[in-house]
Amino acid sequence: MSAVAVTAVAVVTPGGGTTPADGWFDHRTRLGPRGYRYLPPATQYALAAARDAAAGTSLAGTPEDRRGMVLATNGGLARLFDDMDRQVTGADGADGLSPVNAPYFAVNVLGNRVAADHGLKAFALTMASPRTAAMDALEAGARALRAGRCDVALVAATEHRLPGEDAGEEGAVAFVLEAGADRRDVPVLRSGSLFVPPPALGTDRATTAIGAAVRRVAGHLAPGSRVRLILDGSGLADLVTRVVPAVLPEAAVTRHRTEAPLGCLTPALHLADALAAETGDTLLVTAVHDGHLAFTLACRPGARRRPPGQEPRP
Amino acid sequence: MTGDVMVTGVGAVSCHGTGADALWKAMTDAATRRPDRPADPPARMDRPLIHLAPDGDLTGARATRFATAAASEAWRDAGLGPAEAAGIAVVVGSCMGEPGVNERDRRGDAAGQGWLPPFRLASGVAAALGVIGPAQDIANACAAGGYAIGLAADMIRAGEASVVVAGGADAYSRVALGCFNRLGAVDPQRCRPFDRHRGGTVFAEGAAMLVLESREHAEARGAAVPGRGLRLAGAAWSCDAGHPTAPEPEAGQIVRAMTEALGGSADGVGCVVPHGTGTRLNDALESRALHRVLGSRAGRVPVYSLKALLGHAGGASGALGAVAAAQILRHGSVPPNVRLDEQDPECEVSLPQDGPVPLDGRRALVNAYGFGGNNMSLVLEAA
Repeated sequence: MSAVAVTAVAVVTPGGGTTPADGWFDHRTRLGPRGYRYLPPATQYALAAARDAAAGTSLAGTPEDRRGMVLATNGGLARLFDDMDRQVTGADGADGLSPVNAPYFAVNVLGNRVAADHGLKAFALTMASPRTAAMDALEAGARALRAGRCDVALVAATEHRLPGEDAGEEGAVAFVLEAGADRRDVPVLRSGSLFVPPPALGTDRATTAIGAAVRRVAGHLAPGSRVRLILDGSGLADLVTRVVPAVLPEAAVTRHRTEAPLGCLTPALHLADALAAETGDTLLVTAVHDGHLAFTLACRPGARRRPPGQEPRP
Repeated sequence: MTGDVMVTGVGAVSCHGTGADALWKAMTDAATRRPDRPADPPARMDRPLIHLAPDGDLTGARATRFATAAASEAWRDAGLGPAEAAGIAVVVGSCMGEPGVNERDRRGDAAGQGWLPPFRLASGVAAALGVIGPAQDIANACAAGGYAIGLAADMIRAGEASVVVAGGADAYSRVALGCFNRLGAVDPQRCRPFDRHRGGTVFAEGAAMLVLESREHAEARGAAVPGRGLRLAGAAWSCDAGHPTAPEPEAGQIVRAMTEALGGSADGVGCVVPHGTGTRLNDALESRALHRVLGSRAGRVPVYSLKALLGHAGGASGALGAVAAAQILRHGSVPPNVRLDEQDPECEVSLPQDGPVPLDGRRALVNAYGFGGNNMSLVLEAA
């Protein structure tokens, strides 16, 4: 669970939040005059965030087959799929589908469009677990760096409003990751994840597992460190609210309530905010009613670091 | 730590039934199977063709049912007890996740609810096995199951887990099949990889899961004889980073993935389970790429064309390829391919059809590719 350096962060959201809005994103000005109009909005957002994040980093100078991509989304294409389903069950059937959008039935095509934009040929991975996908993607990017699959990884989370009402999340956040747990000039991240089946919530085993996962990622945070709990109103959220402060008694804990329907953007936006606005270490914990949890520790330059040799192992 | 990742259990669901043994029997029978037509009255498309798994309920969490059945079998095959220990993880790849819960008239228990996140297979498998540990969903199109296996291997080598249940699953999706119809990519007859008259692919349902373990963990519990067993010797990824559906014409990235998975040497490869979908361009391209990777042996190494038997099971296909390869290595024999009408001269690979071929080599290469240019190669090795 080695840390990785974060060399860039970019946020593309409506007004800094994730609430769907109209008219906030113009693909012509953000991406270019031609070739983007018919892309699904979540693809447009991811492209814009990725371009902003990549600018000025080592990405362009890295050989293409050493540049990796991890994309995260839950409902980025949900509205498109709903439209497609309506089309396929309508009078014209599948013949009426847009050939431009048809390949997007495979969700990963969204991330691969970003990979094409930046020549990311090492791999393009798409993570999709509910709510935790963005933090899972950061973990996967870090793991891929450590496994030698790439030298630099572009990680992006993107969502678009859900079918029906204008619910859900909208926008994208992108990060550039590089190897370098010992970097002192940029923030470093350390990540982990866990699944706790809802029937196990009342057991000692669940409590122990959550505590162990927190300790693996965060160790013993220094006094003054922060914890952001990004939680829904579930029983798992209540358990996390009890366990995490007990494991990290000297940290300042804040709880941020999230509401269904789900998306992975909010935790990513919290991380971007923590990296930009806070000093010291911040542990972000997100959990969702179906049992997924994810943990990301953001360490700013100058914050106390635990040497890698002291990292506990499962 | 040796860094060795062992395959100690396998499970599968396909149109031929549930179980890796059912898969192996179908492989050895090598019979032609015509595609099914799903009972989905609202769907309007010219070629509603797919190989359905034997589960009569087209609604609800169908892919999860397949994934949990395959995972439970793999868990039993590995001889593992209750999943109560720490260090167990689940990684499941899928192209569509659980599409039925968001498609009209197919929502089953989800009827009346709003939109639901479709990628919930990993949590379904973890819950079924009783795992408290990392559970992650990968959505890498038709290469997803293979990517899941590669990610699982990375988790084990990094010391994050000792045991990972990994693989892929996909079920009927009206949207996906409609899109494939729109793209003109559905063969009107059946899935005919490497056949001169192939006309596209035919989707299939299915799931395949593997239990991967660190060698130390497997040997400590007696699941592997020290120094022996079935090993995941390589798992390499690459991305074309180009067109959303067309492969890179020079095949540079799929060659790189195969070469890296093989560790730079094709020695000992006794069988290839290709991606081979039946689409005109891809099969010819993969054939040429195999020549570049296998060199002078390319025309002799038997290619086992799994999709001719099962159809194209999307995100499950790479994992099904891995289970098929594991069965071939366990049995020491490459089953006959489903008979081709006429092999495409543009696909110069060895496709034995007259009977089983003794396995000549300890390694099997498995390829899986997906829309967006996702490429993945695995190498399984019998010690």
